[in-house]
Amino acid sequence: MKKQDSSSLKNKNSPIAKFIFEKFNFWTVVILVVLVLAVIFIIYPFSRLLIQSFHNKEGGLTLENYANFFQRKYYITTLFNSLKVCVATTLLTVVLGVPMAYISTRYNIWCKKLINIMIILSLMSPPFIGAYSWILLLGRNGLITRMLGSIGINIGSIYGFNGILLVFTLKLFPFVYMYVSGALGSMDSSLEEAAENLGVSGIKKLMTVTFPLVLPTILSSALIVFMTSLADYGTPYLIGEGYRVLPVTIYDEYMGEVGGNVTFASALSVIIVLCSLTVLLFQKKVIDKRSYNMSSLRPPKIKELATGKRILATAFVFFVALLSVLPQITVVISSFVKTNGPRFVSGFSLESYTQVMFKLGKNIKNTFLFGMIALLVMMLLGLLLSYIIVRRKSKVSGFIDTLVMFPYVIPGSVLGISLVTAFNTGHLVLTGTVTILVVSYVIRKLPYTLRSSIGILYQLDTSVEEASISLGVAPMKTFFMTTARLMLPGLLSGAVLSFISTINELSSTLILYSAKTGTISVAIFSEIIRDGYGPAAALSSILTLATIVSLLIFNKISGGRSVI
Amino acid sequence: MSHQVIIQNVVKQYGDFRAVNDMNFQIEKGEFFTLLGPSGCGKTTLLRMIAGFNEIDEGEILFDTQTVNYLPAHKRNIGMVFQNYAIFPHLTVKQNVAYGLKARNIRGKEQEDRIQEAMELMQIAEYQDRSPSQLSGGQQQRVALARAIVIHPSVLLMDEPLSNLDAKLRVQMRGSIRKLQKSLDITTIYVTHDQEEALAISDRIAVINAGRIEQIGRPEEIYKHPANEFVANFIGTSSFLNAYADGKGFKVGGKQYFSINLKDNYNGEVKLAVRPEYFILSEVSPDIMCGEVMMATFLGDFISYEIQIENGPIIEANQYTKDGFSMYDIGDKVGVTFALDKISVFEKNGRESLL
Repeated sequence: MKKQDSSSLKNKNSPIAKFIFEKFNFWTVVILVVLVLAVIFIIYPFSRLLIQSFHNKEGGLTLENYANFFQRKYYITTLFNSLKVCVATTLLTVVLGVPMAYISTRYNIWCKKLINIMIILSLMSPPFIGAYSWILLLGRNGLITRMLGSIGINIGSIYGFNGILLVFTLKLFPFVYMYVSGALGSMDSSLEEAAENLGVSGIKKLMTVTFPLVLPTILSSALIVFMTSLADYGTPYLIGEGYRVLPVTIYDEYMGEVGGNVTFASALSVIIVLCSLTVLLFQKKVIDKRSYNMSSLRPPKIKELATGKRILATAFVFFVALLSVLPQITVVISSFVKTNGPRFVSGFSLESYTQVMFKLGKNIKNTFLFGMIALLVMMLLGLLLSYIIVRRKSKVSGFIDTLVMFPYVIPGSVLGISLVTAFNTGHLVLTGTVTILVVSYVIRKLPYTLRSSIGILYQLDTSVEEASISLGVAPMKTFFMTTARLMLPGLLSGAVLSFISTINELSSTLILYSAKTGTISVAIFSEIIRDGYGPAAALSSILTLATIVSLLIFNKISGGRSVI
Repeated sequence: MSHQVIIQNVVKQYGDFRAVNDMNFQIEKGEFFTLLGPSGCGKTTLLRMIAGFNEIDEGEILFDTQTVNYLPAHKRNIGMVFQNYAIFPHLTVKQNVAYGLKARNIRGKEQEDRIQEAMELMQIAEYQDRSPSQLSGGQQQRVALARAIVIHPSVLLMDEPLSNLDAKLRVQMRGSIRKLQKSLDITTIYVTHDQEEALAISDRIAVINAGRIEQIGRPEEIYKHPANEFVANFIGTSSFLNAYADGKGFKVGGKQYFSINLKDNYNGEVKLAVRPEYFILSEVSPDIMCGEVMMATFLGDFISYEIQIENGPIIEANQYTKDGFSMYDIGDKVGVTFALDKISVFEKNGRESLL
């Protein structure tokens, strides 16, 4: 100890000693590595995409792609369709999610656990499975359509705008529900009591105290809904039919029958990214002005409802939750139904499962393998990045924060296209490899892990680390012995979300996969297109099962903390 | 074992703001030294510079003869006690205390002996297998202290360690801290904004304001002979009166004249600082300052008065019940004077003592 001291004190005033003391440490190295990775896998691909959008097929510099977009009514309509779907979805999910969250956190409705499980489950499934199930139920030849048709009721077409809206709303309102429930649950009851004490109660209290306090949370969840609905490819592809939206058009242009128009697809990608960025910046501006730190000392009381009202409240929440999980139930049941080609026939069997195990075992293995690799990478990055962002605040760390959150607003297909553009030729050829898939998963799904790590880190006191350092443990070791350990619950809860959403990923995988690297969701999608409804249902059920198992493991680890 | 700590021309700069502005002083081996000042005065910043958590922008901090400016925090062999205790929540009480010993590779019997010694000293041995969340604030603070002293630090730093405890426990704990420090003979630097706590616990106090040292001295020195208006105001309670000095003395309220030797036979306006207990209340008389009682509060051993001086400020004066008294009522007129040897005299801006 003593020896070390004097040696490091020898050149006490040299600029090198000063530099090392102030600048060089473990975190500086981490920051450098992260910056290099970010340049290679985020900045470079998107720059290539951007540059490519200003070129024509022959490689000449041009504005033709953008001109093409804005001059043709066909494409403008696509853009407006996309925005229309997103705005309508966002509004509906808020209208549905906020009251449900309020009822279930503040009133003594029955089956709360079951309701929450149903809602989480629907949140975790890929949207296109929703589209597919609703077609099975309400489509031209759907179960309910036929049943109602036989008694003379015509429910109209599920395809197009209405269908997309139905699937998105039921699929995405859980975001609003979960986030707002969390905020309502962590609001200190004394705030509302203070309002009552001052003579404000009922609706007025709700509008002047409760609602403004959860508004930032509502806006954050609304943003997620907007982004997800803007980016989703599978749902509008399956149920949209003639109703064209941007992600479908991008994919079609990119993969087009005759080689595709890569540069035009790039321009479309740039346009969709600009839309998401605009919305993100707008939301940030609104939220920054009104974000509150709420620490709950006394969680809000749960109000007892009279039996009549209690039944009504339960029925409403339960019904919506059931609707949201209905696709999963449909899929699981139909996976055990006998099939004859594209049609389900009466009688049960395990035929669909034996079929997929035999044919698509590799896809199943791939899904979990890639998911696990991505999970490990994301956990490590989440741990280190959140620390840099929260505890090493600087311009550089702010830049990294923005940079890693940027892909959050990038639709999967756009990310896929940009990665192919960047790594198809040159020094680093990755197309068709496992690496490029894992990279795309990490880039896209890291924000879940990162946000929840950042959240928990803000709650941890810096003095715990300082105590460890003053007791003689070097900063890096201190981090792993104290903060990292204490962050684990937050890190894991985010990581589980990242993992679940990784194994369910479709839109970037669809562009990046090769014959050897297909995943379950790719297989489901191709089976649906080929009318292989049996295998599709079986694979979807496997995915659902994996999701449930992940959630259970997560619950075990985190000791019952909520998922979001 | 214990170090002398020398602060030499130390500066901490945040943008244009100097949180610590050219401080110079020396803390002796085994001394209990308190940094006292209002919030934002730079006391915690300085403490964290000594601990190694804040960089030193200018000047030097030395432990004995060694500069520690570029010595990383974890190599300074410092025991630190934090305001919020900073107990490791994922470790038991005993594991918390063992943490620093493990980092020093002290294992086996020695480790066990030192842990037990520290836990017994802080009276937490019975909780050793509990998790910190099961302890009260006072018990957690004891764990924090045990954890800090078990490593036999060369310097013990405490950052407002008692501010999260209730009043009674605070008084009790400061007694234990004082005894512990004396028995271990560790150089201790203690940060607080509570002047009473500082007076009770310290060998010497540095009163800090706006990044500068206002006065350094033993508690009674600082209380009796404040170096300037800030100290007189911050330590204890003082009432301030304007007076006019003529070189041989000064006149208060245009009436009573006091002969006194002021620095440089000072001529002109001066400011007097008088403690409540040094005012003398009497019958109204034309030769002395007069005032009207605005408020009288009976507090058992003394009565506290607020008195509006004629053509002057409101002062605070105490009258002790043991001296025999008749309590004045609100609205009563009283004569006000004071014991000359108990007051402080400053030049008119209050920056410098004239005694």
